[in-house]
Amino acid sequence: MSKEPTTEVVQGWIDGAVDVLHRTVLARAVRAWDVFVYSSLYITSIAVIEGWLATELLGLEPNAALAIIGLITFSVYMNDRIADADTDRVSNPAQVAFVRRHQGGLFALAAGAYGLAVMLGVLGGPAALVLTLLPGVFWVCYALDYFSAVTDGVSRLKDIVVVNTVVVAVAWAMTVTFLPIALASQPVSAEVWAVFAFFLSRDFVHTEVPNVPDRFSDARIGVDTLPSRYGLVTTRRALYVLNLATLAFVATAMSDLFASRATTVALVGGLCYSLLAVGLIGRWSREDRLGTLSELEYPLLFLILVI
Amino acid sequence: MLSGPAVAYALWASTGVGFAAALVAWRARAEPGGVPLAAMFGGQVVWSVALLFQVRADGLASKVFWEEITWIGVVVIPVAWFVFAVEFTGHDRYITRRSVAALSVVPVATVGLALTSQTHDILYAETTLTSVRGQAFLSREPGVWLWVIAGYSYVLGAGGAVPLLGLVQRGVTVFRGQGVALLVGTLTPVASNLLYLGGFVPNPALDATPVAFCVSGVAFLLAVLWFRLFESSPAPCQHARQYLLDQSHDGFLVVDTHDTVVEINDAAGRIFATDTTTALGRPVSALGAESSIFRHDAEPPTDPFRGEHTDTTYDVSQTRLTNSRGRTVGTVYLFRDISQYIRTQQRHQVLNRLFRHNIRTQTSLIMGYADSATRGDTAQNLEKIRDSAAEIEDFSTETREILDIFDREYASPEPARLSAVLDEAIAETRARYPSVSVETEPVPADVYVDDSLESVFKQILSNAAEHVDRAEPAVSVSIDVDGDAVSTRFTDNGQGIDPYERSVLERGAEDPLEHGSGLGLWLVKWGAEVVGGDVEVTNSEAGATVRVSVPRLSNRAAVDGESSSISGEHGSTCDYY
Repeated sequence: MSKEPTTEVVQGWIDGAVDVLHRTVLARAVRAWDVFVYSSLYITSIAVIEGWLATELLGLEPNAALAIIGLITFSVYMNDRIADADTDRVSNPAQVAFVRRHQGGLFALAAGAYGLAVMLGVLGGPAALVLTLLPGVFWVCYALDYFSAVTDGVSRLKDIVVVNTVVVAVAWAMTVTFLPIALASQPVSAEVWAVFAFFLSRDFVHTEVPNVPDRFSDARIGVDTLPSRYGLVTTRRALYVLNLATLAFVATAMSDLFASRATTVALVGGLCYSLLAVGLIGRWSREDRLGTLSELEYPLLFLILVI
Repeated sequence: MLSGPAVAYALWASTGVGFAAALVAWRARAEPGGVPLAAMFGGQVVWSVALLFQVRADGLASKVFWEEITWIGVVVIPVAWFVFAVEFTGHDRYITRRSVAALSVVPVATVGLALTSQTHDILYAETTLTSVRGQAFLSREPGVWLWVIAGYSYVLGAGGAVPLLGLVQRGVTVFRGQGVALLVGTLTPVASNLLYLGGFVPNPALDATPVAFCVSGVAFLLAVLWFRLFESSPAPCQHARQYLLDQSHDGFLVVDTHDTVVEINDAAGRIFATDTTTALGRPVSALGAESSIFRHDAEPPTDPFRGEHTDTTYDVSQTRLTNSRGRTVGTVYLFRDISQYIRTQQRHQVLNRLFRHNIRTQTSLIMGYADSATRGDTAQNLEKIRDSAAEIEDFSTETREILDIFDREYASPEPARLSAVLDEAIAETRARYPSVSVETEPVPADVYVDDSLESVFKQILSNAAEHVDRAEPAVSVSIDVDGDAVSTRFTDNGQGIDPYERSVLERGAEDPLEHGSGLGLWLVKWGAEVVGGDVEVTNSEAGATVRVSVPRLSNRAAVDGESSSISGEHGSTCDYY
């Protein structure tokens, strides 16, 4: 004798299915995203997109520079996360736990990645090789106490406000701008310098925004950043000024360099998005997401330019 | 893309492997050998990259330029390898800025000569372009300096291999594995370079040694992964051996078959009152008159050794050292301090005598007097029984005091004013023996001694009061302070201490046929020894003199002591309230 299922029973089935879906698919997706972020693959993807944008702005065909940029980014950020595992324990415990659990394998991958990047860099000749080594050299200078060892009065670059961010921004802006040029054996023109200036500004913002949630741990270990030294309001205002100055630069100087007006519009759109992201500093409780939100400027630009 | 011979691809691969290996080594830069190993692979990367660019370059000038750059990497490798091997095997005391600078003189000169090679023929006698299978290669005739740097590099390479060979001979599997992996990683490029220098390679215009470093990189990575290269370092072993040798309380003396001192630690240096660095390399006879018994072929010592420069007694063991063929190469003498053991043995002898002889004698007397009492004359026998019982009680009291003194042996000193200690002892003696007269010189107020000396002083004064056979026994006390030593001299007006008792005391031991009559003098002797002093007994016409010499203590410790602080066994301070 069959019995018709009641509404409650059907609702129970649906709830069960949703629960199973939540525990399997969604939980795995969240875990996969965490691994993507913790293993530096997320920032690597952002860097590759940045490299692609650079080749587009420079009017080049995508070349081995994109692979080199990705490999270097993965290696440097992975090394940085391993080296900073102790200091990041408070601000980012889940990431530190992941890094510590897979430390040996992640470091081997990071070392192999940089080795592969150097091999690819050699193909482009001496200039490409130097540019490939540049982020690694800057990272070492940035993170280690080399300059203090040489001159007692000079602090570790990582500890000096603004300088620490400029060092990181210069390293990445030089690599993403000049590496595609070197591999394509193209001359360094005024357009190239303009693109470099643009990425210098963007990388400064994208480096300083993630310092917001880290301001307390940075202050504890004596690392001066805009948020840890001057607070959130001053940081927000400073980044507003930089974004507006870049906007003016793009709208005036750079618009003449690009053949397509759409490119200029895309860059302006990206900068407006960055202004919005920076505006959330000190106004949004999920500070740990600010860095990701700011870096999404590149995928946004990528989408606008592709479309 | 890259074009050219296969060796160019191999160089290309070696760049990546070398760079990854350098990063892995750099990560372990805090470990012994981490930095030089990273430098070695860094040098290999520079060599590979510059050679690759040289192969790909067009024209003589361009090829010469990159050839010169290769030297920056080439010369780093042997120096870094040697420093790595020395540091990794725990001999890092030889690696100083000065020694590294000295090792770098020839390499730096080589780079200078390479960068100016177009202006002289010291490094290269002639430079031309040669064609191999249609591709242009640089052909350079070696100059004099090329053989200098080649020889220098091989000397450093061999020098670095020596300590690593020591690792291979170790019984520890992980260290042996490390040694083998590192030696394989070293020998491969060496073999490649030898083949190139000997002209046994298919392309004599190209030194493919950097390619061989691919094997080095892989061997090194295997050493890291399989043999935990930087996680189980043999470096502490060398330091531990030296530490144990230097810090041991036992003395070590090693003489070779020519009776030359080849090893001596600080403890042995103190035994012979010599500086160890002075003694090393000198004949063993230079250590003193008694050192002849420590020749390499001397009979094993049978008696305890008491050196002329120390009061300590040592048990000396002798061990012959033999090489792998069983031939004697030297002799090790181990000096173990047995002073404490001997002191304990002496105490056991005396206490054994006390129970075995004195108490048994008194017990026999008591039993005899008791038998007599049962047969009559009760009152007199009971009096004697009481005297014997009192004697036993005195033994018991003295034994208790002696045990208290022994308990102080390992305790921290408890400073007290000498005047207070002396006054206390005199007051108690006067109370117990009213007839005795004690005269004391003024005692300086700032002289502190261990407060356990009070028992010693009381015993000396009691002995005088009991044994001086005069109606008015008198004792005079004088103090002599000499630097860190304090001597307290007690002189009585008696007939002197029995020479037999003195001789037993001076010998420091008793036996069943030769022993003292009581415990008093032993208490005095041990009481002084426990606080680091000694006792001297002399007789004169005036009477007996007992001189107690002890170390003078700091008054600061006394002030601390007033709040009843003592040091715990781990150096902590426990307050007693």
